[in-house]
Amino acid sequence: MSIESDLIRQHADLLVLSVLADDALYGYAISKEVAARSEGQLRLTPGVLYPLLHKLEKQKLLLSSWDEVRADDSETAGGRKRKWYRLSAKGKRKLEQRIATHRACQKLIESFIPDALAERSEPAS
Amino acid sequence: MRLRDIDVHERDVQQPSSIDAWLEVLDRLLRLPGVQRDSIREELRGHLTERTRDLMLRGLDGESAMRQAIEELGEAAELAERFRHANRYPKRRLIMNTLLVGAGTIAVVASVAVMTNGSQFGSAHSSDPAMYAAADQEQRQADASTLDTIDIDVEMDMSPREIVQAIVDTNEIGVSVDWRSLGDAGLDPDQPLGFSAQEISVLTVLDELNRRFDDAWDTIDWRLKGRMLILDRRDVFDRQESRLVSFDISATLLNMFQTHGIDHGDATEQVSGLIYEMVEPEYWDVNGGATAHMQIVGGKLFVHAPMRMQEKVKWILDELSVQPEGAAMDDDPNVMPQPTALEKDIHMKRQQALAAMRKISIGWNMWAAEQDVPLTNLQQLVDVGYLQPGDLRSPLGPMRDGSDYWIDYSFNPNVDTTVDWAARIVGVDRAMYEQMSTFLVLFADSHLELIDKIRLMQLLDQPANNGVQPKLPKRRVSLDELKREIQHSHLQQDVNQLSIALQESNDQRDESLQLAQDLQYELQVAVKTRELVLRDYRALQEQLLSLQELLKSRGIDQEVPATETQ
Repeated sequence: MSIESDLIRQHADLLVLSVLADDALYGYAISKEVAARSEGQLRLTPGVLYPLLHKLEKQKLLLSSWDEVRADDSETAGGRKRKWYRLSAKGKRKLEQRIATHRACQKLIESFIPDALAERSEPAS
Repeated sequence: MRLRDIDVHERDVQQPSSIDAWLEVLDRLLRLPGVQRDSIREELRGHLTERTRDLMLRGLDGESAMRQAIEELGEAAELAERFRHANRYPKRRLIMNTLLVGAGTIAVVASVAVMTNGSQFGSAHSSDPAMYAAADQEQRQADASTLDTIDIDVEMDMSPREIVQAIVDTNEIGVSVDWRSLGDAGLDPDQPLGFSAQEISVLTVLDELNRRFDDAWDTIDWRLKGRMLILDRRDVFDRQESRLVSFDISATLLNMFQTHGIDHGDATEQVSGLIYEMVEPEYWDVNGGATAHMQIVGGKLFVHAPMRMQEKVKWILDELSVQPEGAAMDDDPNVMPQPTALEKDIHMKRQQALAAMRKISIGWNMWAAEQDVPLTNLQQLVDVGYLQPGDLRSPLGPMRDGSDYWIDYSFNPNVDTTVDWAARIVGVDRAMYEQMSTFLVLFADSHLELIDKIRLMQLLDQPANNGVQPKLPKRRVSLDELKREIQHSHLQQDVNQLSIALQESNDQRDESLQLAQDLQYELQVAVKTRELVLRDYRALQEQLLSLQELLKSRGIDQEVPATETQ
C-alpha cells in the first residue's frame, strides 16, 4: 500500500521526533531509519526532511552537534562534518503531546467509520 | 544502533564539482544569515556525499549517482524557499496545536488576542512604542499596588499549589494558573518552596516564586485582569501582548549611506544584526526564539514584539539616525542636516533598481542551474516563471528603445572559465544610467555595484571584460550640463529672493514661507549631490512658478526676476 505524500508531510514532525526518541541520528540516517521502520512504505525525501530538521531545531525541539567524519585511510586530513540531532527536553514533551493528539484524533476518526466498512477494508488474513 | 554499519569508504566518493555548483546556487537563493547558510550547506554536502556513495553501491556509476542524489533534493529554488519558510516561526500552527492538545482555555483565548492585536496595529499605530510601553508600565504599577495590599501567611512546607489556594482563600482575588505551562518553566507545583512568613503580600510571594524558579528563558510572570490574577510564563504573556509596529528607517539607511557609504542591502543587514544582538537576543525568531519577529521592506522596518522590546528597537534606530558630531550644523555648506523628500526619492529609486537587478541575477542563476541551454533573452526567465513580466522593466525606465537592461548573454555561468568573476561585467541597468549619473552593474559572481563612469572604464579595461561592450544610452543631459542649467537659469537665485521677499513682507503665512525654503534647500541638495534627475528639476521649476503666482495673488509686490526656461 502506498502512503500519500501529503499524509506523510502532515506527520513528518511526528516521524522525526519519534525516530529521535531513542538515538541521536544525522539527517541521512533519519531518512533511512524512517524507511527501515516502515519497511519502505514511508520515505521522507531530503527536500522535506532537512527544512523540517531546521525548523524543529529553531523551535528548540531538537538539539544538534557536529562531528567530523574521516575516511578510514585518513588520519591527518580533516574530513567533512556531520550534524547529529537529538531530542531536547522540550522536544520530548512535544513528542508526548503529538502522540496523545494523534491517538485522540485517530480514535475520533475511527468513531465515524461504520463497522461494516471498517471490516471490509481489513486486510485478509 | 539500528543502522547497518557503514562499510564503504567515503574516499571512494570524490567531492564532485556538480555538488559544489548545486550548493553554490542554493547558497545564493537561501537568503538566510551566514551562519545558517553555512550550516545548511555543510549538512547537505554530507547528505549528497553519502547518498551518492549508497547509489554507487547499488551499481550506478559515479556521475549518475551524483545526479540522482541531487535530483532527489529537488529544485534548488524550491528547497531554498522551504528553508526560508522553516525559518519563520509558525505562529498560526502553534495556536492550532495549542488548541488541539488542550493546554487550557486561557492560553487559547490569549492566542486569539495576539492575532487580534496584530491586525489592529498597522502603520497607523506605528509612531511611538514608548507611549505604549509607558501605558503598560503605568498599568503594571497600579496592579502591583493592588497585589501589595493583599496579605497571606506562608508556611515552610507550602507548595506553589497551596500558596495559590491561600491567595484564593483571601476572597480578594481569583487566581488562574496553567500548571502545565509553568511546568515548562521548571516549576513543580507540589514542591515546597521552603520559606515561611506571616502576613506577607501576594506581590512579595510572587517575587519570591519568580526568584526561586527563574531561569534565563522561561521566567514566571503574572498579570492582573480585573480581580483575576493570572500566572504563566513570561514568554506566553509576551506572545499575547506583542504588537506589530512599523518604523520608517529610510532616513537611517540614507544616513548610513551618506556618512559611511553603506548601501541599502548592507545597511539593512547591519541594522537588523544590531537589533538581533542587542535587544533581548534570545527572543528573536532568527536566534531560535518564538516571541519577536522583524522584517525590513524598502524603507520600513516591521517589528512584531512586546512593547518593552519595541522601545529598545526605537532607541537603537534613533541612535543610528543621529548625524555625526558637527554634521548637522546649518552653516556648514558641505553637509546636509536632514534628508529631503528629493534625497529620499533618489535613494528609494536606487534601491528599487538594485532590487530589480538582483531579481534578474537570481533568475539567471536559476536558469543556469536548471536549464540545459544558455539564456538568450530575459523573456525566457518570464516564460519559465522565474521572473514576472514587470521584472523586465527597470524601475527607472522605460527606455525609449524599450531595452532597459543590457545583459551579456555570451556569458554562461556553467561554462565560463573567467577567473575573476568579481570583475566580469554581465549586466547594466541602462535606464539608471540615463536618469542618473550612476551605473548599476551586475557582475558574474552576482554582486551588484553602483559605480561612476571612470570606474566603469577601469573595469572594462581589465582582462575579465575583454570584448565586453555594454550598450549604453546617451544621457539626455550630462551632470555638468545640468549643474550649469540650474546655476544659469537663476532658479536658485529666484527662490532665494522669494524667500527673502516673504520674510520681509507682512505675509508670514507658514505655508508659502515653508514652500520657498523647501525649494531653496532642495536646489542646494541637487547641486551638491549632483544627482538631480531632470524631470525632478522640471518639477521644481513648476513649483517655483506656482509659488510666484501665489505671491502675486496675495499682492506681494517684489521684483522677482523671471525664471529662464530652458
